Amino acid sequence: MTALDAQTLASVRVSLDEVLAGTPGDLSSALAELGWADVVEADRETAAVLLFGAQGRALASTRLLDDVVTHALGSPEGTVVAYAGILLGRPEEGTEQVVVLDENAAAVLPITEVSGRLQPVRGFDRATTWHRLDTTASGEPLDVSAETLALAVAAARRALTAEIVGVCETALAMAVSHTTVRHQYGRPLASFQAVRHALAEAHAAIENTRATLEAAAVADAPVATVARAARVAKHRAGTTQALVMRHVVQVHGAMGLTLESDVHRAVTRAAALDVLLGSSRELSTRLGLDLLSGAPAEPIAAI
Amino acid sequence: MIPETAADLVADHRAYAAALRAHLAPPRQEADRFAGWRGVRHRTTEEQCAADAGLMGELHAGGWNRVGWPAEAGGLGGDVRHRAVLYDELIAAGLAIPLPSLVLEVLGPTLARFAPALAAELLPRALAGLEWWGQGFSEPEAGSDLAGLRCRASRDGDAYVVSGQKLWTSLGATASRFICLVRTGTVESRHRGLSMIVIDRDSPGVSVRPVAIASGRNELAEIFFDDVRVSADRLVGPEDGGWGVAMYLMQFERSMYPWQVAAAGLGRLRDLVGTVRGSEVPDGLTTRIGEVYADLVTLRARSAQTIRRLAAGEPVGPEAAVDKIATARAETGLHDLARELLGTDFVLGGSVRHEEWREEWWYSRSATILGGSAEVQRTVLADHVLRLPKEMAS
Ligand SMILES: Cc1cc2nc3c(=O)[nH]c(=O)nc-3n(C[C@H](O)[C@H](O)[C@H](O)COP(=O)(O)OP(=O)(O)OC[C@H]3O[C@@H](n4cnc5c(N)ncnc54)[C@H](O)[C@@H]3O)c2cc1C
Repeated sequence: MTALDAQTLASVRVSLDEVLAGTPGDLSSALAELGWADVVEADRETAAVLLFGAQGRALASTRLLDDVVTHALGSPEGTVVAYAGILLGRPEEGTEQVVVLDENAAAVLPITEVSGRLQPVRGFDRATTWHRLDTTASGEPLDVSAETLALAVAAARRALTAEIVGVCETALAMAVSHTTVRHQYGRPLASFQAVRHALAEAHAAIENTRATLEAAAVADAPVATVARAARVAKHRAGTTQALVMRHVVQVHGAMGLTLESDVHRAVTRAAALDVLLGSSRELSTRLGLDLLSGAPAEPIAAI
Repeated sequence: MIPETAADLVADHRAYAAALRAHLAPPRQEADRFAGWRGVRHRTTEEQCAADAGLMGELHAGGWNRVGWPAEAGGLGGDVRHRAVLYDELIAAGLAIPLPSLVLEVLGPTLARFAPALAAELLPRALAGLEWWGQGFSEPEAGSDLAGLRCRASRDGDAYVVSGQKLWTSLGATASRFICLVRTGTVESRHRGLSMIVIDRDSPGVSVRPVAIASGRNELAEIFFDDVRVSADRLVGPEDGGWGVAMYLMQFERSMYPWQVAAAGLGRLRDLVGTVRGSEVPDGLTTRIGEVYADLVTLRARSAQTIRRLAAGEPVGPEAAVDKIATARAETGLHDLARELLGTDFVLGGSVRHEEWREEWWYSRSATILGGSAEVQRTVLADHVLRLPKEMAS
């Protein structure tokens, strides 16, 4: 539910796709030009879903997630975030402190203590800009309430869910176009039932994730519910990306395993987003443990 | 009739939910009017149906299940969201979703839309639990390929003469009427030659044979029509226009049913987790509990969106296949989890609870079959939503 009408949403979506497909360096000025602050003002949650969805579709890597967290924590300008020791990029000039965020705790470190302890990540996603902070960096506990911390983690998980949905949309679009164009046995790949059903399943998984994300925006619910809803959403995003990527790689044949197609970019980007702030497996284990220790199996989505 | 603020409750489904919750909660002082239904389950589908119809009667007497249905059809106004709220609150109060409601949610909106006179005559009786209906679509030779159905209706003066057979009719053993898709055109006309019609069970020439599913319960039935005369005013929608009516109906079959499955499923997950809480849970199953919970929340989130769209009068169409796919995942996942968590007791346990889980496990297998199989749903999405090149016969 949003204060923004359908037409505005559609046009914002188009503009965001253009902005995020461009050079990430100019991101803040491009967003400012778009009047992004007004959209955020009108409806912060919808704005985040739109922005991170576009970032996902563009397979872009930025530090926008830090804004979600620092806003929720009320951190000063010049703060960047380490997600269980992962920074989304090398801190820019002018950064003053790093908030080290976990599910249950947050600490703060002055930038002077961080610089020498950062290593660029060399991982699954070859183009990643991420950095790792070595584990000896502990810092001072951040002075925020448990509720504030839980809400910050939940907001970041919802943003990540939106981004994973975007990555999946792009991957599915690649698969649809590849299987429609490529012929084998004298007909398009997408006319074979096994291929059609794989793509239909991917579509259903994406739409079901979108719905789960929408339901997770339960601003007026108790904090425990907001946190649980965000865990469910991020878990759902994780299972969805696994299913979508498996099918998308398969229907591309050999091409899907190469650097010549963009499929690998979607696969590795989605995998990286899945591990941030709890993988789908970690989150479902947590959800199960909570239920076994007496948490309510609450429906979350209201009508 | 709902007390004092009926109009407010009809205008606002959340206010209705709150009032209903208070009405359904076990009272502290006076006798519990729902005592006969709370946590009570019957051994046969026939007994369950009769008891559930009694629950509908009790709700109807207070006006509660009339909210959400149009006034012209015996309702009090409001929309499909009110009906969704009712099923939710029934589960929250430890009651069950009445079996007749499952079919009524599929057939009722269709009757109201395409046969207002019939809806005005029949729907009030169904809401009051005085009768329930069966949906006669499938036949021995027409399952997934519904357009190949053969049960014939030939016009004869002011009536149709119906001959043929239906199969897999839910609640068919005890239903008083069958809302059937029949062939009024040639067999070659496929989906263009179909019509929908209401046939009373007590008409001469109708015979019914209950069909038990593997749990032993008569969930289904086989219906035979031997030159049954049905007045032409029992047609739902135009002659030969039955396919369009059926497609309208499918939106409800693939949207309210998922909502009901999610509501009931969350209730059953609560029971299941309560049973194993405090004991040692086998390796990996804690995570499965979390996954099944998440699947139920997803199903519910998706069907909430769909029900909101229906309430706003937007067509849902083929996109409802997404809801159906989520339903199958949640429903089969929940019952497989119960089977694993209960272990030996699932297979050998003699208690009523174990019997119940076994029976429900069998029924849960229908989630990938009824209302269009898992494969059919995927084809619907491939054809009409992703618009992929058509599958070719090989
Ligand atoms: C519990 C239950 C309640 C039911 N209630 C009702 C009811 O009230 N009214 C009613 O009319 N019907 C009812 N049905 C029947 C249901 O709608 C049919 O079972 C369903 O449409 C499938 O038809 P079928 O069983 O003949 O399977 P078939 O069509 O024979 O299919 C068998 C298998 O083959 C697969 N298959 C078929 N065609 C294709 C294809 N083109 N591509 C790939 N795979 C394919 C199917 O997916 C399925 O797995 C009920 C069924 C159940 C189980």
